[in-house]
Amino acid sequence: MLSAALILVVLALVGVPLFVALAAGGLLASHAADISPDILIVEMNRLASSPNMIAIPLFTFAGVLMAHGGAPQRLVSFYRAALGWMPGGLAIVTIGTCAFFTSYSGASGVTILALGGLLYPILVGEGYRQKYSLGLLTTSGSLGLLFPPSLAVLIYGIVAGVGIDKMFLAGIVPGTLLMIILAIHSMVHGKHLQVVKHEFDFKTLAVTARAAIWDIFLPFGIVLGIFGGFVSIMEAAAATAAYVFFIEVFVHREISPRTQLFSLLVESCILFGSLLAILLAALGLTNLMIDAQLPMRLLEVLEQHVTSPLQFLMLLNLFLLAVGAVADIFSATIVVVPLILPLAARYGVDPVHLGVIFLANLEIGYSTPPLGINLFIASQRFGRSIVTLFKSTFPFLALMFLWLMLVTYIPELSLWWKDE
Amino acid sequence: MIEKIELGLVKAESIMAALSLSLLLLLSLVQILTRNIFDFGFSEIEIINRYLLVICGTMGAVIATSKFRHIKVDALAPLMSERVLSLLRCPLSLFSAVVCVVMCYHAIIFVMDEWEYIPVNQRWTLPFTLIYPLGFGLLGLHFLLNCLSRKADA
Repeated sequence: MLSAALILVVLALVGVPLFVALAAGGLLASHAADISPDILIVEMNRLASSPNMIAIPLFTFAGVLMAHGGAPQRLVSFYRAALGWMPGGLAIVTIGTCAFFTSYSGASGVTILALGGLLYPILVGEGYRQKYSLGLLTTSGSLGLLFPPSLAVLIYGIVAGVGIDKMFLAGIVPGTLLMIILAIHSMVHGKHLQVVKHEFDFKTLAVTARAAIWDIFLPFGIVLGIFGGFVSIMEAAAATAAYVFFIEVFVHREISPRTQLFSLLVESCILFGSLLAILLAALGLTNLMIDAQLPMRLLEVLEQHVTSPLQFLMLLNLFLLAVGAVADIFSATIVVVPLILPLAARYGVDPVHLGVIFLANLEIGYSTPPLGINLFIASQRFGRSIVTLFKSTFPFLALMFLWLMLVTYIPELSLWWKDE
Repeated sequence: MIEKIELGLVKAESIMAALSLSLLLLLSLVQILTRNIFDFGFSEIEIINRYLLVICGTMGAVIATSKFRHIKVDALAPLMSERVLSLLRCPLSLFSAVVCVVMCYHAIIFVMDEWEYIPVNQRWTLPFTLIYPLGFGLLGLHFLLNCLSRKADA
């Protein structure tokens, strides 16, 4: 069994699609547990029946429409006009735009692909060092992972059985804190390098704000809709997709329904499909691990060595950082969350706080070798080696690690809204 | 010949994917409007949406196979020469095809069980369950075609 599992890992590392390796793992595990593999399909059907799942393809469609409708360019122009006068202003623009965009694209690498090519030459052209610019853009590819309507938050909520509105609420302060930390670092760096500052021009701000106003209001609309109790998550996703369709087709007229809509619908299905395949394949494997009482066995081992919640959180961070560095965020959520939920409950960690810790770790893991997906995508996008990119991202990872400590050991940052 | 078959398949799958996602969006909007304006919702729409989600996701996954766009963690691939990678392409696709065919077989059993045990008032949903064996079957077929057509990895 172990050797078969190792062969699957090697096959995945040489290029077998992740969902195939996970499905094969599920088939193997069911064979080992003497359970009919039909259960894998039953579990897939059960996950697909989760009402919040519908939000994923709809938010994906909204993200695809925005990317092809020129939203990145509009947002960069606006943020540049609004913040370009500050020291490190352009780096802050990068942080803000990437965080905004990643919350829609789900940190699937689309941010680096869509914004990297746009922002990298501007950053270098304005005097930022190449190494700094590469590091900033690579790590920014997963910023915004905690903000609504992040797919990673949606999936954590579905898997952990936690209210998605609560998860979105919990992610706002930690997500903003990370942006502030990185923005301060950018300001210090910009001042140190004496990077070009732009004169603040109200007229330019007004023009760019007018162009981007429909995009800027979107996240506020989603937050207000969900937390105001006006719409459910699924309804918010449908309304967002319809809204983005309306503004890109009828207001900005950037997308032609006749020539582009079909290919954008198919593109959204491809992005969603490759994600769904992993989610469904991973679920069967996870449930078989739960049936084999793996969490309980883990708990037994853990209780012998770990006596306090603090120790547990330290161990959890080490474990999750390792997971983030070798696994993709979606399969990691499906496979790991059901295993750690009972352990966290035993040590009194709130499942919402656990969700924020989990996603924060994976956000860092995205840019950590050997398998951080941001490194691979940035390597492809900027034509640099993984080693160069890792060296570039290192200062940012150090700051993110500091942020992770704050988020982990100060639960109030995530749970401030909760009545005791 | 193989390319022609694949092109035709992808075209049909793209139409199915685009239609199901459009319909999913449209029906979700109908549900929002009826719930908020008329204070009621169609329970059938929720069931249909659930299957539309599976259809658009499955078709997306099938097209992703043909376009080599599945998520991979191929950390060893950059360390291997182009020649080794091209030699591995067909066996890896065949392995993937076999896994998908096995899943297709279990999906057929799942559908047969559903047909036998589903309550009478939910029988109308049964044709939708065919998407599971159809999806795995198409995935297996595309992996096989990937091996035979020797397309370069994207």
